[in-house]
Amino acid sequence: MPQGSIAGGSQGSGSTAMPRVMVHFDRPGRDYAPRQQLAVRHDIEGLGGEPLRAVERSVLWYTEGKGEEDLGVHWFERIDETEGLLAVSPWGEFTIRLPMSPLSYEGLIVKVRWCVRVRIFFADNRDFVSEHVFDVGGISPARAPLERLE
Amino acid sequence: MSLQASESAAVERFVGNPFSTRHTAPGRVEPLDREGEPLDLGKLLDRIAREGGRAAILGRHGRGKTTLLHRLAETAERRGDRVVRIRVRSPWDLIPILNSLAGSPSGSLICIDSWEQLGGPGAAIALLFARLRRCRLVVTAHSGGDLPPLAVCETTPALLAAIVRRLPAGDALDGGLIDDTDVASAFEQSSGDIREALFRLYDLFEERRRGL
Repeated sequence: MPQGSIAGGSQGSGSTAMPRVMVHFDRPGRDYAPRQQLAVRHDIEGLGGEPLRAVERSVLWYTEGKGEEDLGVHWFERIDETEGLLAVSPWGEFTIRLPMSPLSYEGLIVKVRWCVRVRIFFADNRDFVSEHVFDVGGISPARAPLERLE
Repeated sequence: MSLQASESAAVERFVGNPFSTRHTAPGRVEPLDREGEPLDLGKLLDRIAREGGRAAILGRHGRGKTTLLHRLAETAERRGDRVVRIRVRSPWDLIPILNSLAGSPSGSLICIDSWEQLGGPGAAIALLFARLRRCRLVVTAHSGGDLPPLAVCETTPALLAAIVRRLPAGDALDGGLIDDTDVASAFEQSSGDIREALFRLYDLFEERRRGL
């Protein structure tokens, strides 16, 4: 399973902050087994002093391919300003237990990916999403030639 | 807990196939003109008002009509308008359209995708109801019918190239697994259908990434 991240967000009214979210996993290679514990620490940089409204953290799976996207949220938490966590340099950590399924799968026309998603909401209604993929189940990627599927 | 620092700005990179529907489904990409330049959505919304509150986004399959409709709806919502989105799959979908119109305040923007699926009588009823409710109506259709055209979606190789450049890691594609020649070829083989061309590029990306 390739590893990496994807980030993006919506435009705000004149905002210049370019956040960067770093997620640290407790397993080498981010490889996890079903029902295994997942421990994560995330650091958010590049906020440029802009006030935040909330941070959402979730662990979820999604499908990726040529068809319609499917998605399941396994764990979700929203931390808002009333909890006073976001004033200076936001960071956080959490530990959850993964479910039995679905397992990560790197198919040709469909893939199942697990990721840690951190979503930052700025006070000006702009938001920023960062996803960090990890593997559940250790299934080998599909290798069948495309012609066989047609 | 003992944490593996497996992510940093230096190693941050895109994972996945940039041509998957996750990134290319209608509404996910920025609406562009045939030269690949961003459309002015605010001006288009203003034009709907000038056209009497009714307009159609026209074009053949895979030309970007739904994407433009989605983005117009988002722009209207950011302006504070009430927006209703409906995808028509059969003439029976007239019922939810009428229900939505009945529950929408005057000035709401009703966005209807695949307008021709309603059929002539259904479309006439929906139009009449929208006028009675004083709601604005913008639809996607393959041909205009009675509605004034807001935009005619046409595609070019330059447009597809611009879409590809805007995908996640799109800048890194050129010279990598997919290059400009592949994009131009996908456009030609798909007869200008952008959705089909992106599917072709998806397959090509998978093929090359796996060394098939």
